[in-house]
Amino acid sequence: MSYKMIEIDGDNAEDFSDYIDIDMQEQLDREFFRGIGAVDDSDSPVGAMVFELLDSESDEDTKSRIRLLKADSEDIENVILTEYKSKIEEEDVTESCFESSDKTMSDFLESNGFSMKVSEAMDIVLTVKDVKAVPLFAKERNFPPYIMSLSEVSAIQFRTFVKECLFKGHKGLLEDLAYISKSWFDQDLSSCIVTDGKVNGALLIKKAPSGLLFTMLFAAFGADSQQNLALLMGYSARKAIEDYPEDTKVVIRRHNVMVQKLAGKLFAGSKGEDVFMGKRSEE
Amino acid sequence: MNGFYVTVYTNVVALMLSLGLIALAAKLKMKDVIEKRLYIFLISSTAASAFLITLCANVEYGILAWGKYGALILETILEMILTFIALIWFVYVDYRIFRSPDHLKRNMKFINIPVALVFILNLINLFTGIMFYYEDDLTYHETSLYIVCDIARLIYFMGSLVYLEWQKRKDKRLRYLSVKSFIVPMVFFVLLIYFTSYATSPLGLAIGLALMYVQNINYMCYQDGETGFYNRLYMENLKKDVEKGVYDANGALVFELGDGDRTLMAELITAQLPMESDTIRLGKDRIVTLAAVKDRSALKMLGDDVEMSFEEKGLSVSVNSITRKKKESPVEFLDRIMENDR
Repeated sequence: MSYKMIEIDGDNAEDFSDYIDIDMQEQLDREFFRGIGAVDDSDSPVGAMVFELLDSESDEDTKSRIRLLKADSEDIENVILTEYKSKIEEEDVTESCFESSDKTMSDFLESNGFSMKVSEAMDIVLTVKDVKAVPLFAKERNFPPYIMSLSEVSAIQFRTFVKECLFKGHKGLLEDLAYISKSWFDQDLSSCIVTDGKVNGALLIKKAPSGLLFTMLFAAFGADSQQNLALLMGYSARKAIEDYPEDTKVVIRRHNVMVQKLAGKLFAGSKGEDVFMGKRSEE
Repeated sequence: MNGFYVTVYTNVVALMLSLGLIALAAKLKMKDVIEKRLYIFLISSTAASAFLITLCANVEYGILAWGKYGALILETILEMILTFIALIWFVYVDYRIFRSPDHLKRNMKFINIPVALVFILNLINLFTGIMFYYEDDLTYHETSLYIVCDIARLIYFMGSLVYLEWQKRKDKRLRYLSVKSFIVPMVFFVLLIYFTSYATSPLGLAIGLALMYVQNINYMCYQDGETGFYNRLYMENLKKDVEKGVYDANGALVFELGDGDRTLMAELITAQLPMESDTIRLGKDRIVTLAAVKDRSALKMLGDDVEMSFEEKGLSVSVNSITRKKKESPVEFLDRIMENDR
């Protein structure tokens, strides 16, 4: 049987809903996310892959992180992986990697040259109840007037903050920070510090279509930056506690040392699930 | 009488030095108006304190017959002004570091605590003599409570020194700010009073402010007069910092200016760029902004905003981004930027 490869993007991602969950479908609108879909002779979806390009706009080696690979059979997965290889060659990708709890996917990738290990995931999944249990966030408190929701700052102020972040190399989890608009983030849950008319600190949170809350960027600059980070956390945490049910899930990705230490202090005992991590050189 | 002459002469020198500095500072082309005002205010307060100390000395030694109450009032005003100067010194250092009026406003209630305490104690002292007092023959007496005034001033001066040193390690913009001008007034203010009992603090302040003036002038050698950006000389110094590992540049935006008002163009560029960026005028029409980031999308975003702002004013600019190559060192990168200019 022959399969046709097509590009998946935000417009046709829903067609592959059996393979790509609703949260990942939304990601395909983003600048560095790529989707490969396999369809059969009757144009019915039979498999899909989603990957994200990393460091593609710098002179560093471009990497690719495979976010999802799912198909009806191993044959189809092989075809998709071949298409993936040609796509990443066009992008000068030097290394592929992945992190997933999907054993089927990881076994398949391991059989295709990926080195494998089992490790604790960088993500920890908490609930609003866990956030409320932190003594720092448990009590109601008054916040100073210069901390506010993202909805209260203008698009220009937000853009200036993004430029500041990019200039300093702070992107959080957002490779495509330069391309993301203010409206992409949750306007009430995300918080900002405004000093001298400019945003100089923010905790940007994304509410995914499934209802999961993702902390995407957490940065503050200039005067009182350390205190401002604490204020931002407190403000967003209180908003989550007040506005969301206790079972709402919050995902924190411990992508650098600062976040690891902070998560360790606030949510001691919280661990990521065991996941399969692998990589393969593409040179 | 020796004490009188030493006090009067050192304070007259301090007064003359301060008045001279006011005249020079008024002509300084400082971009930041708030910084300039704070600086001139500091010098003026120093001049006022030097004058008051001279007056005090004249009253204490009976040259001016104002009596013990006149001496007490003068001394009270002097103590308040000296502590107030120390507060403004701290505020000035804070502003030099962060250039944030909001940050100052938010922290004023904590910053004001020592000076408020000194003011209250001095007012109480006017009626009770709990800190200092004069006898009928104008002999001055001090109690152990007077130490509160010294501690308040020490908090501000030491605090500003420690604060500056600490922030210098975190913020590369402050690397050209020397602490010498902050140590001198502290030495005069605290140590010499104890060793010599002479009120030499205004001289210390005036010398510190003069050192700051020299620093400002030296700093201006690195600035382009027309645009306010750094000049080629700054770029040469930057290379030395890069060689020492103190500074890193991975990307740059290059602006080629069209015809038009260069000062306006500089304002448009400044308005779009992050505050901490190093922007250098390399040639008549060529301006470069250095960035720590190698990300071309970041540079593009900055460049797009500058282009748009120029278009709105009917001015022309062409913007290019350059990033450091994989095996290129930061010094080679800076050389490449400067080489492209020749």
